[in-house]
Amino acid sequence: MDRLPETTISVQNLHKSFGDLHVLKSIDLDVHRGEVVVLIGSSGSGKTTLLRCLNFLAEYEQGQIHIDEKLMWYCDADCRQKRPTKEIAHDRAAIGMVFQSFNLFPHRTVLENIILGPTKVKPVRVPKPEATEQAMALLDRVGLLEKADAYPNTLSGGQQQRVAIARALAMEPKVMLFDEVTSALDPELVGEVLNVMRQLARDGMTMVVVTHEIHFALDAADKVIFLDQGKIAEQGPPEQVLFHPQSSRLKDFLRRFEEMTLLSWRRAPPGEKARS
Amino acid sequence: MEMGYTNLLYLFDAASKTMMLAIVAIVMSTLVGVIGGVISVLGGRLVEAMVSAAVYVLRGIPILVQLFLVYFGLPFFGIRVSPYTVAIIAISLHMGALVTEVVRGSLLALPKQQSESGLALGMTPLMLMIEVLAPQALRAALPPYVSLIPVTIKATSLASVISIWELTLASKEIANQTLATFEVFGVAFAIYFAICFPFTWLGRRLEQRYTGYWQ
Amino acid sequence: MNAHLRFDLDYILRHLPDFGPAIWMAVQILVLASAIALIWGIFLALARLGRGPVYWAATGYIELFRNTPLLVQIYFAFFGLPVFGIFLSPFATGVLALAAQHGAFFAEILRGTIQSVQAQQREAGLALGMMPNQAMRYVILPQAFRDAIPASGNQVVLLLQDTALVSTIGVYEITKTAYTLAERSAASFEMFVAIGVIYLVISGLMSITLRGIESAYRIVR
Repeated sequence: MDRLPETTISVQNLHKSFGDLHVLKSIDLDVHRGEVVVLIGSSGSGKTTLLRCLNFLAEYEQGQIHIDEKLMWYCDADCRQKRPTKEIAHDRAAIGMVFQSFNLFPHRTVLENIILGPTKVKPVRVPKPEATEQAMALLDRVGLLEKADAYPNTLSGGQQQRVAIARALAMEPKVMLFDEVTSALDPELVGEVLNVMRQLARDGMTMVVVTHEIHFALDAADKVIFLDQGKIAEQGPPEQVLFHPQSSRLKDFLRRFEEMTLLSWRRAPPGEKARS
Repeated sequence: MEMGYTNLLYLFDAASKTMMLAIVAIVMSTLVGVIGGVISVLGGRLVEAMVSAAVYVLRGIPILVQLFLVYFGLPFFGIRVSPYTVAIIAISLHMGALVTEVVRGSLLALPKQQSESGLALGMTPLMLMIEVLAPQALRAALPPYVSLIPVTIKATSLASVISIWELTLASKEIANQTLATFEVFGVAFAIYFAICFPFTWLGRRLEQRYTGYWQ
Repeated sequence: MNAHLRFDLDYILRHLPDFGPAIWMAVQILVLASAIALIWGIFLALARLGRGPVYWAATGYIELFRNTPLLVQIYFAFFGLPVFGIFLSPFATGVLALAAQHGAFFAEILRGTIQSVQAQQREAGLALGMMPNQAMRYVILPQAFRDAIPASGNQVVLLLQDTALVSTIGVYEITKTAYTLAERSAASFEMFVAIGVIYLVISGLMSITLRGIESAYRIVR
C-alpha cells in the first residue's frame, strides 16, 4: 500500500459569493506535497476565485483551509472572526502566486523585483548580498541571468512572466499558485513559461495551476480538476479526466477546446510524465 | 473686535460684485478661448503658430503682472478705460489662453476616422461638424473647462490690487477697520468657497465620468 | 500728444541691475515655498489615505485652500497672524501662504497618481506577503511619486507666477520692484513689459529643466 504523502493544502467545504452570485459551492480539495494540481473549467466556473481564496486575496464566507496542517484562516458563518492582517500577510509569504498580467513592479529592475520580498518582506529578512546571490541563481534557473539589471518594460511577456515566477520563488514558498499565467502571452511565448513550470514540477514543487493549456495538464499534472458552476465536477489523473470524461459538461468543454486549438492532443502520446 | 451685521451685509454686497466680475470674465474668456482654439485648429500653420505664441505668453506671465500691463499699457497707446475694464481684459486674456488650450486639445483629440466615416455616410462638412464632431469635442472639453471656472473666480480677487471694490478689497478694508481679521476673512473664505466649490466638484465628477471615452 | 508713444527701452536697461536682487528674492520664495509645499502636500495626501478624522481634516484643508483665492489667504496670514500674536516677516508670511495653498494642490496631484497605480500592483505586493502599509511603501508610493513629477513640475511653474502676489504685502520681489520703479517714472508700461519677459524667461528655463527631470524619472510600463 502506498504511503500517502503529507497534505500541503487541505480545503474543506469552501463557499464564496459575490453578492447574490454563489461562485464556489462547497469545495473540498487536498493537495499533497510535491503534487501538481491543474484546475480547468470554462470562464466563470470559479477556478480563479478558488486560487485567490487559497492566497486570501479573496475572502470566503464559509469553509476551512489548512496549509501544512495549520488552519490558515477561518471564518464562521457570519464572518465575525477575522485573523489579524499581519498573520495573513505572514502566511501569504509562504504561498507564491503568479498572475495572468505578470504584475512586475515597473519602477524596479528585474533583480530589485526579486530581492524585494526576501530583503524587506520575509518574516526573517535576508541580507541583501545573500538575497542577490539567491536571485541570480533563480534568474539562471528561469534562463534570464543576463536580464538582471533590465527594467520590466524592456522584456517580452514571456520573459516578464518568468521573472514573476522567480520573484515568487525567492520567498521560498511551500506552494506555488499559477493563475492563467500564459493567457496574456503571444502563442510563441507560451512554451518558455510552461517549460519553467514543468522544470519546477520536476523539482518537486507543490503547484496549483489554473490554465487552458491542456498539454501542460497532460504531461505535468498529477491530478486534474474540472470545476463547473462553482463545484468540483470531476477529478482524477490527467488521462482519466481528459481522455475519459464522464459528464456531458466536461465532454462539451473538452470538445470546444479541441476545436479551438485544432490540436488532436488525444492522439498525441502523453509524453514524459513529470514524475513517475 | 466685532465685525457687526452692517459689515456682513457690506461683504455680501462685495461678493455680488465679485460674482458679476467673474461672470463677465468667464463669458469673455470663453469667447477668447473658443475663437482662439478653433482658428488655431482650422487656420493653417501660421495662425496656429501665432495662437500658440500668444497662449505661451499669456499663460506664462502672472495675472497680476498682466493686470498692470493692461493698466499701464492701454494709456500708453492712448486708450483710456476704467479699472473695471482693465481687470476684465486682463483676466479674460489670461483665462482665455487657458480655455484656448482646452478647446484646441479637445478638437485635436477627435479621431480622424470620425470625420472620415461621417463623410463616407454622405454628410456635408457642416452636418459633420454639428452632428459628429462638435458633440464629441464638447464632451472632451467640458471637464477641464468647468475646472477653469473656479480658477477664474479666484483670479477676480486680483482686481482688488488696482482698487476695484470687490470681495477681497472689501474684506481687507473691514479687517483693517474692525481688526476682526479672523471673522472677516473667515466670511470671505466661506463666500469664495461657496461659489467655487460647486464647480470644482462638478469638474471632478465630469472628469471621472468621461474617463474611458478618451484614451 | 503722441510723445507718449515712445517705448523707453533706455529706462529699462538702466534699471535692469535693480532686478538682480528682485529675481534672487523671487527665486528664494519659489524654492522655499515649493519645498515646504511638496513636503506638506505629501503629508496631506497620506493623511487623505487614512480614515475618520484624519481623512476629513486633510480633505477639508485641501478643499478649503483650493477653492479660495491665494490673495485672500496672503492677506489673512499677513493681517491675521499678528492678531494671534504670531509676528512673521512679510517674506516668511508670503512663503508660508504660498506653501499652504500649493501644498493642497500637490496633495491633489499625488492623490490622483496614487489612485491610478493599478490595483494588481498592490495585489502582487500582498501576494508576496506584504502588509498593506508595506505594499503602499514599496509598491504604490514609489510609482505614484514618480508619476506625479510632470504635474508637480507644472505646479511649480504656477507657483513662480504666484510669487508675484507676495508683492501685495511689500516683499521686494520682481513685481514689487517693477511697481516701485514704475511709480517713479513715466515708463510704467515699459517696466511691466520687462518683467513680463523676465517671468517668461524664468518659467522657460524651469520648463526645460523639468522636462529633463521628467524623462529621467519616467516609469515606462
